[in-house]
Amino acid sequence: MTESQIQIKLGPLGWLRWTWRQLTSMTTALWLLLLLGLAAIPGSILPQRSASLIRVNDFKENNPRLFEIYDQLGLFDVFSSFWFTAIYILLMISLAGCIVPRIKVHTKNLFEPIQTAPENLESQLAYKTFEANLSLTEIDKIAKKAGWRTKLNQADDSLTIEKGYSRETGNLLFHIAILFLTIAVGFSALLNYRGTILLIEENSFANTLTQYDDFRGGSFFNVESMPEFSFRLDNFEVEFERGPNQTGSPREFIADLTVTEETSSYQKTVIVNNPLVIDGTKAFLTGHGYAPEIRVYDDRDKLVFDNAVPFLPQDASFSSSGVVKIPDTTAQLGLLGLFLPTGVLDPELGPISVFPDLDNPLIFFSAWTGDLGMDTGIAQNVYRLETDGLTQIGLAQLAVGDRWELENGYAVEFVAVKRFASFQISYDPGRTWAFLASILAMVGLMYGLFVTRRRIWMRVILESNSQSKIEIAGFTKQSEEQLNRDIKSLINKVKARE
Amino acid sequence: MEIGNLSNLFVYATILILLLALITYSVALGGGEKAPKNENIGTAFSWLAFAVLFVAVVLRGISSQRVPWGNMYEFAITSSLAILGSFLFISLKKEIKYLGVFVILPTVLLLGLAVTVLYTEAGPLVPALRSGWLVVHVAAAIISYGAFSVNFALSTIILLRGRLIFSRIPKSERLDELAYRTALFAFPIWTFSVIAGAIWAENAWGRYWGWDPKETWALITWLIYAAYLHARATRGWSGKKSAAIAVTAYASIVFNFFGVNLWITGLHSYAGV
Repeated sequence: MTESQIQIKLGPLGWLRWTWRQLTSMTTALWLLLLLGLAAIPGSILPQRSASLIRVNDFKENNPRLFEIYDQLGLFDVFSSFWFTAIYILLMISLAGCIVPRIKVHTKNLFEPIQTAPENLESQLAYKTFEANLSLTEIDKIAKKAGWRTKLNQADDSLTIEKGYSRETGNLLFHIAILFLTIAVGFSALLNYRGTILLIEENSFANTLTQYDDFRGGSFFNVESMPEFSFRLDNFEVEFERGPNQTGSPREFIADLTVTEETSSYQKTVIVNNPLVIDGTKAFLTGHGYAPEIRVYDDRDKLVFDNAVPFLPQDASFSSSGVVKIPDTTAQLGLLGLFLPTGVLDPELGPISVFPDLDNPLIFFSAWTGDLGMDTGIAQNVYRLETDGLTQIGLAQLAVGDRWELENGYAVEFVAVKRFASFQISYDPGRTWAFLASILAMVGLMYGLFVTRRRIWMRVILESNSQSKIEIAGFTKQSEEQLNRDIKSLINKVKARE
Repeated sequence: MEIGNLSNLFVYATILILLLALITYSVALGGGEKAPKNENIGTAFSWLAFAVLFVAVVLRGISSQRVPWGNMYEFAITSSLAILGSFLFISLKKEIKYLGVFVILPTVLLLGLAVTVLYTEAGPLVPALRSGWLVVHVAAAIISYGAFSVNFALSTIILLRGRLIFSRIPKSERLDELAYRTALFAFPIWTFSVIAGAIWAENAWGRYWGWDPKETWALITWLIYAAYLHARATRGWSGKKSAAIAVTAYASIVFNFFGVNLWITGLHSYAGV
């Protein structure tokens, strides 16, 4: 029969069965594991929207053509792309299809009586004979006491004992736990939320949607269910290494908070690795930076702007960039700033920061006038100033306390420097389940890999009044050393009883 | 002399001793009457190197007053110790001295890179790393890397067999079996390391899994080794095919250490070079 003839004979049901068998075969599982690993690689090399939107946008600016193609393929959202999802769902189906029949077989094995000994023990593993003056019934009792499942066969004077069922139990537990872990992670993504905030010293945050700088909630997340609390950043302390070794490395970040819940108010210190926890919602300290206090006066010396402006750090020495926008004046004014905590003017590199702490804070400002485009109603990035169409009206270097008179009569004052801390606030009801599943997977794995399933047979071959000669042998697919140890220990137990 | 400098001196001494071990092992690999004797000398050198490196690692820990795996340099020297340790431990129970060249060569390379490219003076930890989980999570990774390295050496000779014939190397089935057992030992420890890392990430960053490049590559490594363990149980996949999977898995470990730390930016980039 040729192949095409076989194909004709397979009906739709046959094809389904054939596909199912292919999908649940070990070889397929193996390929799917490798394929999933391969599919994850672009997600680690290309910037991902879920991790850093800024870096995705940078990529877009630098390679606009390539960006289009990559984006079509979902390469900036690899872990939620249809192809990545397809592979792991196929893997999970293959896994389920593989373990369900195995669960059936295993439960059957657990409750069915053991098979009796084969006729020829000599051809089996670890064959030997020993003399004993105990009957097989008595040996049966000894084995039972040692935790073996036994089957005594009076008909041919043989005894079968078995151990190590927990290997398959562990194996199945591991695979079921992995399945649950995947489901828990999936549910997490539907029910959780994660947001970031940037808080300047002496400012407060209240846990409502509008106060977040960036917020991502799962599809089933209910905004109403967010717990009510607020906290104020009383003080933020940072310490950097000043010694010759690893100069400028961070040594200490400490955020002192006053937390207010519905009825109570208390102090709490948050450091990295030690978050604030309220009702399952956690606030983590994830970053920090500087917020220079800037004042702007108009041409009649009226104060039109007075704020601490967060500047985003650009490098390890905290050279930071920020923007001040003053739209509500006759001539709209924009300031593009470079803040340097320890500023020096390098003859080659220009203005740079040489240390992350506030040893010599300097701001380099360029001032721009024109239409800032803030009246158009289009949301603007507060950290960016589009200078196209604007006119530059001055450049200046300011230290703390300096006042800079602009040519249009305006004045800019650098009053002081505050610090800001960034927090990630997250809530994830699935994490307990994911944790439990991974613990079960770990336990299952240990049993599944390290328990040896083994079977030992004994048969009396020569019987006299006091002594009988017994042959013993066994079988295992795993550790023969374990089998040998068991046989030895069993014989020792029998001899000890005599 | 400062303790940190003393530690460096011991690392340099280790490299020297390992080079001697490498030479004797290489000579032995050629076969001949003296081969067993040379293998024994190589192993003696390896033990000596292990002892000296152990002292170096301990001194490094003392001089920085914490566990000696807080940056890439320390991770590299402690991993080298784990690789040597795994190899020597197995050699106590099994005849694997023929593996010498294939274990010592990567170790020397790693230590060489450690003292040249990765070197950092001993110092306190950055705040992000100050956690009890650093001890557990990274220690587990180091131990499993040690065993995976022996698995890699074995898998490499399984692949090279037929192309290069060394009289000292036993049958493929025995190599295969031994390689499988090293992976059996390392895989659960690696699994544990990934789980511990997830718990730490949950405590430090507010999410247990965020597809950070380091996390992604840890999972890739896990998936490939899972495939390897399955391959061993699949008909027609043992021997060279599964050895190829094991070598790929090890490549992902190497990339996770060098590629992800030095080339890709992510949350684990604080490792300090």
